[in-house]
Amino acid sequence: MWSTPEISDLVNQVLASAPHLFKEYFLAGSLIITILLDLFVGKKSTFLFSSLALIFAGVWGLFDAVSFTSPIAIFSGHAMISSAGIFVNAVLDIFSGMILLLAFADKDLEINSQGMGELAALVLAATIGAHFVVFGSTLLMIFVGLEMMSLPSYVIVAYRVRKVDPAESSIKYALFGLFSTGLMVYGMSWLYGITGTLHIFSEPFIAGLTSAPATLSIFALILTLTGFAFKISAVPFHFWTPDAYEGSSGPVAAWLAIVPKLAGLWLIYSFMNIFYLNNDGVEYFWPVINWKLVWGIVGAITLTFGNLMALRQSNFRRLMGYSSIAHTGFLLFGIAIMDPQIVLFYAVTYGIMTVGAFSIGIFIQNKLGFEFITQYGGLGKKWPVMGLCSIVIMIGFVGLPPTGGFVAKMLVYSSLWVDYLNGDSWNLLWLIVAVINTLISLVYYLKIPYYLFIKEADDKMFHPRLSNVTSLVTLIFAVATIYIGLFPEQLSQFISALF
Amino acid sequence: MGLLTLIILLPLLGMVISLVIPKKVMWIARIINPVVAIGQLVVWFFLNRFTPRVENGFKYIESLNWINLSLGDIGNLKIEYLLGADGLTMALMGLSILIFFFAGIASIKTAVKPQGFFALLLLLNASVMGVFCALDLFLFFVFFEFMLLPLYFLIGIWGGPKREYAALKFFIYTLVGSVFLLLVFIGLYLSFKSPETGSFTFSFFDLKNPENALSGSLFHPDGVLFGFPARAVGFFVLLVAFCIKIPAFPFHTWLPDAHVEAPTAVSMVLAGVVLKVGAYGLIRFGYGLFPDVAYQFSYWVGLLGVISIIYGAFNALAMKDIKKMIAYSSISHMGFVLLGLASITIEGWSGAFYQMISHGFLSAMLFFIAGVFANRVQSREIDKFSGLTTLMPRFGAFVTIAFFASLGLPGFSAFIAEIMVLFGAFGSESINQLVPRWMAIAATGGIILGASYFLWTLQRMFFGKPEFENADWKEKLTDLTTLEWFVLLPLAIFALVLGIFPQVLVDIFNGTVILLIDQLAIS
Repeated sequence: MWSTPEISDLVNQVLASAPHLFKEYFLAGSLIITILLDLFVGKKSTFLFSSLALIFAGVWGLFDAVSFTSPIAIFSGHAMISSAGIFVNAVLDIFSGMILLLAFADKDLEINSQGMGELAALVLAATIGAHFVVFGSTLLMIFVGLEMMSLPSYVIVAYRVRKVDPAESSIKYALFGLFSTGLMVYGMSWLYGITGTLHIFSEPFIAGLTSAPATLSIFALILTLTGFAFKISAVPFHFWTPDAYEGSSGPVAAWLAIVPKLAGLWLIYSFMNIFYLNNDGVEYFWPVINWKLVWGIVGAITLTFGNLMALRQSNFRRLMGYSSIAHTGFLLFGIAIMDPQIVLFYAVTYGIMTVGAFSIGIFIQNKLGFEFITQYGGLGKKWPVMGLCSIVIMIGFVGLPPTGGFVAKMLVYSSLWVDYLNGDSWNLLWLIVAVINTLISLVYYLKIPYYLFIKEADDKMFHPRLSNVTSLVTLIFAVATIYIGLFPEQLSQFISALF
Repeated sequence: MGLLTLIILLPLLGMVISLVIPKKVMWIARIINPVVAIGQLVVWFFLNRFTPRVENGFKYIESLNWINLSLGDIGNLKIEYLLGADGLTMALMGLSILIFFFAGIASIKTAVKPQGFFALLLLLNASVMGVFCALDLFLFFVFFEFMLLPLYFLIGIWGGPKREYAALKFFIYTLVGSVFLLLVFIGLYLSFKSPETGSFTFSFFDLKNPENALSGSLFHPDGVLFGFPARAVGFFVLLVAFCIKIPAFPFHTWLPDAHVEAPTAVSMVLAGVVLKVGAYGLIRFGYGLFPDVAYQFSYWVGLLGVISIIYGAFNALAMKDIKKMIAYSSISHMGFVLLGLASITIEGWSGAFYQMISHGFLSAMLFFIAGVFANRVQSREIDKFSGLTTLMPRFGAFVTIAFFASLGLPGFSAFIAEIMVLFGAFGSESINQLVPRWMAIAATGGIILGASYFLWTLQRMFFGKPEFENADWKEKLTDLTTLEWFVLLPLAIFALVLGIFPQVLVDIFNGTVILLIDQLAIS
């Protein structure tokens, strides 16, 4: 399909493809300006500029996603631009921008002698990388995108030199990351060897996979998927998650919980599309592996493991780390049934609640230096607005009405249910696992409002007033969580218009 | 905006007021619960008395499109804001409004963080009203879940020493129930299509009619799940889900803990209103949506009822804490509701409905009485009191009334309710062979046990010589205050009026009972 084009053809293709990446050029330009600002102007302006640039690119992307019509392969098929992909990137941009705004107020990062400017630049760079993970449609592009996303993220995890553990957790993250990347590249090279092409959506790719010995294909695929699973912290490639979250600062942990995860998830979804005829998720193109079962099992294990481990945590960021693993499990059920709309709906809701939850943890840590939930006693009475928001967000995480989390989980339940009725009996098991896990998750999510409201405060403790701006930030996310719960059709209509 | 919506909105409005009210005019927040309840009562009277009566089915229907989600292959998710009321709803709403009124008065002096308490009580009020009149299953579920949060915090923040354990236990038990509920609701939703719009539906009216079921779907009359008829599984799951809330043996263990730790007003609401939500759900959605299979479960429903009656009564007999004794007596009394429902006769169902209302008033009164002890001496142990009538003669009179009314003395509401349930249960063997006679006989035994624990408690606490461990208790145990009069007297009058003029209440729900039994008989 893409057999060695002439030079002039190649130039023409590049010229025709170039306009499709305007948002990425804009972000790359912003990256350069960010670095310059950091050098010449001041630290704070850097942050403000980069986060506004990201949010601007995100909003731009949202408009773009609506107007975009049919998927286009650009740069000789290295990237595939689709409205869903643009939407995912827009969501990543907006969340990155918001998290940078949170980082703006984070004391932990402020104390860093290096200043914060580099952090902004690194987050920006990694987000650009995530764009190419989402758009990537060749093994090469996916690899480049993943590395561009990962390398900055190894650095930003260590971006808190005040303490010793960040260095440790960053090294751990980097070593695990590099190891999984190594496995992935090894797998990808096998895939290239088997199929003779880098283009994953092309005919030769699937034909090569089919004609090669099944064990070989499976071996190569598993190695490749290992790298992807690492990014979304699916069990058993999750080991880095709690440590990296605990060791890094709040905003960085929030970023890790959203951007690499959602980009990786979308990558898995588009990679899985190879195996479904006509992308309609009905017939298996390649009947050797039942991918539905594979992702169902991985999802169920990830979900259960994350929830069970989260039960025992008292460090806020560690708890959120395991919680994010658990939500990966839920998202993987969406992948298993190949329903991108539900995945996107869940992802957006999850992102909103995650940023909201981290904002609470960050504010408490800024004001009082508390990292453990057990220290939160009585704070809810001192800071009622933030306390109420924490109830809303945690209830959303559990998946109780009237929050977006409830609607998202209900969509997952419904589609598992429908799939079960259509004859896939495993889905009933996943449904039961999902329901039981929802119950388990209640215990640890409720811990936060429990300590905030029901535990008594230590009277000797001095509780400074929380500024209105900080309360407002949390309030926005809590209101958004409830808004999606009460009026989910706006978000879902937006998403379904993408397909 | 319809009047039912108004009933739901009034407490929400009150909640906002109680939260933003300045500390200087705190008294406004203190009376806001009773004031809101009076407002709701006016609306309720208007609905019940002054609008033309439709004998059959639902009236005051309010329908608005709420959520319309496209789910790709699955179809459209259509959720309505659908409210409606029939006799059952009206009776339970009237009960709830009155209980919230008295709970509001009982808690008027709350000292710790009063604004939060009043706001949460009002939020609970709104969700309870929503639960009783929501006819879209999704909407019902939202309200149903929303009851949990205020209760969790009301018990967890204002409760007794072991409040945290009790609150969490309550939350987890009920959440287990509601997750089951959600699964059945989703299953129902995916099995039925609205004949008008052709989309999947959560509307009670569409789901009620088995003809709307898609052929081959799960809850189609021919559907099969785990080798059992799917509709039977569906009813069973609903039965378990609502039995947790009622609560019936063996799902009752959260109740004594929650009651013992809950503050007085919350106990009143919990026993008077929230337990009724379980029974209501079973009637409306269990029997209402699965009439064809409900018959098959009658034996088991009756058995659960009888075990609850006997087991609750024996436990009540053994309890040392008067509040725990009352909590177990609630389990015993709610068993009568299940037994009446199991008989599927007009007498049995009328008795079950009557028992719900009667127990609502009486349990609120009993829990208030337990609160009177706790307010004065921070102790509720039965053995620590004796000869109270000499110190608190008026209180003693009210306790005697409440205890005698609860044990089913003729002339009080519980008597009417229990006798109707027993009529139904005894009659069932000859009418429809659903409930064996021994169950009715065993339930009668439960009444005798009830008499013994109430009378024994009364004798131990109120008669004999006034002797207490601490000398200062004699000063502390003063007779009723005006506020306490104001709660106990009307509740006693309600118990008496409902015992002497049952027609007042029967008129409200009689048409509904006949209609529901007819529907069950047809299928």
